[in-house]
Amino acid sequence: MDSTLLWTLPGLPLAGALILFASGRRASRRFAAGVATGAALLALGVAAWTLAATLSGPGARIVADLGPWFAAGTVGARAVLAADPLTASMAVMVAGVGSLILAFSAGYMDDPEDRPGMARFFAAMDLFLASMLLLVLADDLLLLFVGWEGVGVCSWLLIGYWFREPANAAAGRKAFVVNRIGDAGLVLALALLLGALGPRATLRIPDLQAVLAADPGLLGGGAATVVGLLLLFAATGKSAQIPLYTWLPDAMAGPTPVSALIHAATMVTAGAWLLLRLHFVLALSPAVLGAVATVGAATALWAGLLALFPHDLKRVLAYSTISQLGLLFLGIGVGAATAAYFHLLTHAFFKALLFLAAGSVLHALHHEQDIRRMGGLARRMPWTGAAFLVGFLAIVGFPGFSGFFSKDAVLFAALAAEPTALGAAGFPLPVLLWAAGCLAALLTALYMSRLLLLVFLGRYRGDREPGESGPVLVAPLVVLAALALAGGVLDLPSWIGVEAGWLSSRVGPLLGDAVPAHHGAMEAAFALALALASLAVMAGAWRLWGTGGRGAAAIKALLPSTAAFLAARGRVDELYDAIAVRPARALASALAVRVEDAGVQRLAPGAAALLRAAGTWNGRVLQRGHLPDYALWIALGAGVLVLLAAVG
Amino acid sequence: MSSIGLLPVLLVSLVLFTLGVVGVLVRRNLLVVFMCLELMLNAVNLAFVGFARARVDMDGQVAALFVMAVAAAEVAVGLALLILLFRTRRTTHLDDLRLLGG
Amino acid sequence: MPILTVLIVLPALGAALVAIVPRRLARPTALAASLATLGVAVAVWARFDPASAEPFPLHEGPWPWIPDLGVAWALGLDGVGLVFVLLTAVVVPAALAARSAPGRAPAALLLLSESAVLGCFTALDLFLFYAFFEAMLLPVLVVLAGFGGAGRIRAAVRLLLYTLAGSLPLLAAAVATWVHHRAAAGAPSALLADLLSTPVPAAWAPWLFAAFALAFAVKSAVVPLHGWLPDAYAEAPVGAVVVLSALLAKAGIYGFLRWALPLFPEAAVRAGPVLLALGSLGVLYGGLLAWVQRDLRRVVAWASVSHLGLCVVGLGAGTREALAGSAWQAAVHGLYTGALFLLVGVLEARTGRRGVDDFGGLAATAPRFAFLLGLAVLAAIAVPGLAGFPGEFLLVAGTWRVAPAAAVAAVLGAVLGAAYLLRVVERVCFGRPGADAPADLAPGEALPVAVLGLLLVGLGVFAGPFLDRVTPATDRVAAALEAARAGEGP
Repeated sequence: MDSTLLWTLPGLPLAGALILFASGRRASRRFAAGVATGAALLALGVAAWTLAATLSGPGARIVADLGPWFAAGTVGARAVLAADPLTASMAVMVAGVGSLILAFSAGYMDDPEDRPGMARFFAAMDLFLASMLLLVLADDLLLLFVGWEGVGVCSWLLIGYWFREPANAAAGRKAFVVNRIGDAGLVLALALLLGALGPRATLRIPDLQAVLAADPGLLGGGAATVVGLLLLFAATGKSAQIPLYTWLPDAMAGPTPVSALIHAATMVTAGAWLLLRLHFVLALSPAVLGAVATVGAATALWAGLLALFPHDLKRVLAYSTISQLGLLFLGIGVGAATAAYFHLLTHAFFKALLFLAAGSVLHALHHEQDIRRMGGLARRMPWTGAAFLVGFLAIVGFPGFSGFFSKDAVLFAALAAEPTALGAAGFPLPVLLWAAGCLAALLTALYMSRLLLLVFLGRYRGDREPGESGPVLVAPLVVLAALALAGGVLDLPSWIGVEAGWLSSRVGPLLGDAVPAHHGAMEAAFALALALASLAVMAGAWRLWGTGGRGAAAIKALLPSTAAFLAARGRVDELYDAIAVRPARALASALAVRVEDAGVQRLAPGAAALLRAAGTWNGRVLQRGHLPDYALWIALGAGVLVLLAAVG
Repeated sequence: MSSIGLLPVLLVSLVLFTLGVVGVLVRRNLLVVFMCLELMLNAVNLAFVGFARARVDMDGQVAALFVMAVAAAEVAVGLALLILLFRTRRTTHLDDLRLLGG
Repeated sequence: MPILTVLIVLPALGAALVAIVPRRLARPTALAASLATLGVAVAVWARFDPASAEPFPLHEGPWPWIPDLGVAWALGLDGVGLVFVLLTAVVVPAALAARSAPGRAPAALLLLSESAVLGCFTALDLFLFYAFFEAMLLPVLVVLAGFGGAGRIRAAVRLLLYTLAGSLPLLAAAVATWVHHRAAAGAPSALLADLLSTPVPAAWAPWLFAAFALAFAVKSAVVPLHGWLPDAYAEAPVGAVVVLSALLAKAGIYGFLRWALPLFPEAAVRAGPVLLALGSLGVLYGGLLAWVQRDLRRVVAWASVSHLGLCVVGLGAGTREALAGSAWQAAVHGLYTGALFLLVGVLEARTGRRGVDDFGGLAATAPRFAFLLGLAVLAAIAVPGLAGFPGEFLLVAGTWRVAPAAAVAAVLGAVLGAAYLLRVVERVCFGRPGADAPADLAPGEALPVAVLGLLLVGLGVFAGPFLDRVTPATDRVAAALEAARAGEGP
């Protein structure tokens, strides 16, 4: 195939976005959704074709090089995309989930008040897809950075889509600014890479890999660790990990399809994607791998705890996303990149499904988001309820569902991780990390059961009469449910009887993973044990919330201060505000008053006062406007000249 | 015509010039100051003519004529200003005219 | 045809025409003159041969001007000059088209200033450069003092004082450099090439460099010499602010690249840490102050201080990437700052207000305005794909090798930039529309900003061809600095 066709992958959604931006407020919902979804579907077709082409033979790689973008000194950015099974499969996922969510949006965004914003909404969604596909396919890190920032911009636009509400706009800004803090890490990491590589500097990913493989000493002396930590910092911003996760719960202010596409399935995986693409840089420093795993495990656990308390349906899902992404990071950190990628894909399916099911609920309830005013919706919305149930079973890892295989792959890898890989860097904690991951998995079962019980089971506590959503909303749910159910076939474990999973054999080598050894019975036992433990947790949850929520009150009574602390989101926002934002603003105000107004701005008046004093003296003494005085000065001057002439 | 040497001419010129300078410096009536100014110009003219005669060279005379022409123009402007000043301020006394003072 | 001379003379002729045509024709005439200049500038771009091995692929003269002193009318253009010339030619029509640009006199004066700015960016004779460098400010000063806001006199006096404090030492240092050359070469000349051939002795160089640097630092508002900037940007009429911020402030950065660094490379290398420190200080100081401003113009003014600080960091680092980034950033800053001031100017003209909190919900009532404001802001915070990014990345990458701390300050400045500029977008464009929301941009108002916006997108996507013209010039400067560094090292 003609390789430049690869550029149509970001190009088609970009064209859709441009058409919609140009059409402005005239665009109807039908037109806008049609253009946006059509572009996404075309991109999906190209992506699928590309994937097929990359699978045609081992090592098949499609490179579409449009030449240099800009260059100066050792910096040389190229406009080059490349597809291999890894990037192409990710592109298929992004375009596929994107198409489904756009189709869903066509039905979801039917509020007549939104009518003038339709073009803006779908244009931003398409622009997002274009950016995300660019991020995924870019073969040059600076080009990847274009997509990286592009998704941030679109996220800003879409979180604040209902901009009349100041809180929404503020949430969008918070997301963008926190992301920019992470991006600063990425820019510095790239600068450091360029500086360290010297004359062999390159930001093209395969070249970088080749250069570093030929001479790992280029990143010696701790440089590899610094680069890795900066990359990790950048990834924590995009993928909402500790310490930069606080923007994601607030980002739920955006329309639900946005939450599903951007803040669950795709954009938030960009951080993990960056680490996957640059796995060979991380591999140079065990300390970095340890840090990645630690951040992941800590985030998975912490977000799992926070997910137990919110009353807002979407916020629970947001914390769940953070927690699941933590598992991804754990997988990357313990050297199981393929398993992490597997979980990335299945998570995209089931989390998009859960969000869209939640969207279907919110649509039926006219944007009532408080789960205390829901309940018993499974009977009123059977399709949505069934879809949510599939997503639920997938995320808690019910045997046979996609999450079962992927989560198990990550956690078993954490258990089986070479202790030396982490221990060498002073992280004697692989077992602890593994335990934290398992605990997070059990917490998943707990908070998801809470949602299921409070939203879909029991008795309806609201005052509206919700009914099932229309087919435009339900159809994408069905497709996603099928994917969430069957996504496990992407990488079946060896204990089930297959020789090697598809991802492990086709994508694993690209991620530097060897085809995993056959652990056989041990892995099977672990997987089933975890599933059984999850079932036990679900049973416990039934006792807590199944009877109308009295159990939750019991927990709160048992641990009042802990529960209050977690319900207040751990007061992390307040902490950041106190240690960073407020001091910086206080400093800025102090500078404005003390330094600028009282100092710098007095310089010119001070100099002017001096000049004025000199001028006053001149006016009073020398030039008082008395003609004979002037004549005297002239005469004296002439006399001096004559004298000088006489002497000289 | 008996010839007069250069020295007497220069002496007269010097005396006239000094009178003019002193007049400009000490007198307070603008009209008188103005006349003293003319006196200085004419003193210089006299010196020019004296030198021209002594050196048998026309340049000095040309210069004197030039100064006369300029002086005439200057008198015309100066007197006009003076009259205008007197009309508006009712005085030509220099101590009363210090509008440009600091 | 001496195209560079035409380029300089054309706006001045336009200014003379504007002064004599009937009043109602003044603005169209001014616009026509500036557009004609833009046409010539485009022709200059077309004639510029990027493959040329000469330092100045386009040059004219030297034609003797004051032969006894060796002062000549000598013009030349390399890549750095080329982008600044194009920037000037683009920005001035936009400034003149601003609806709030008042009548005849300001238009004529801004055209005069354009002439001088173009001269400044093309002069290859030190005294010719000095003359243009001084001349470009005076018309703007008159516009500020005569047509500005309530505090215009105060602002104008301030601007004048700061400028004088910088330019008198510059003149003295220029004369000293010239004297040294005359003594060393035996013949007077102030041509750049001649001056470069007789390096100034090491004992003088630091002082001369300091004098040059002082003048250029004042012009580009290097903290703590920025005192003139906030008031001038707040009080001048919009057209004058655009010219002041987009063009005149750039002459400082240009002066460093063209004169101060090449003439005194050893001194520049020794002063590198100072420039890095002051630049970083400016990045953070400007960013923090922009964050707490309540006046839209002052937000943009302080953002300018911050972004010019970034350019100074690059000058201090002196690597190839950093110098290219510095030139690029300076030029692109002109585009987005111009756009931002034009947009604020529209709000002022509509409502007489310009507070950050005076507006709201313009995205609903004035979508064209909101779109262009968002675009300019995204370019200003260096979102890749827009024009601000290549400059910022090159600056950071080039600075990191020399001074990681300054690179960190630069990216912190970018984070702050997102904080305060997005806050502006949020307050002005989002939220509920007020009852007296200003109307959207009329096509005539939108066009100049849209052209700037189109350039911001175009330069972001097709950065390569432009940057490839800049880098030979900046690489030469970097090579000189490199040689100086190598000579000093062991």
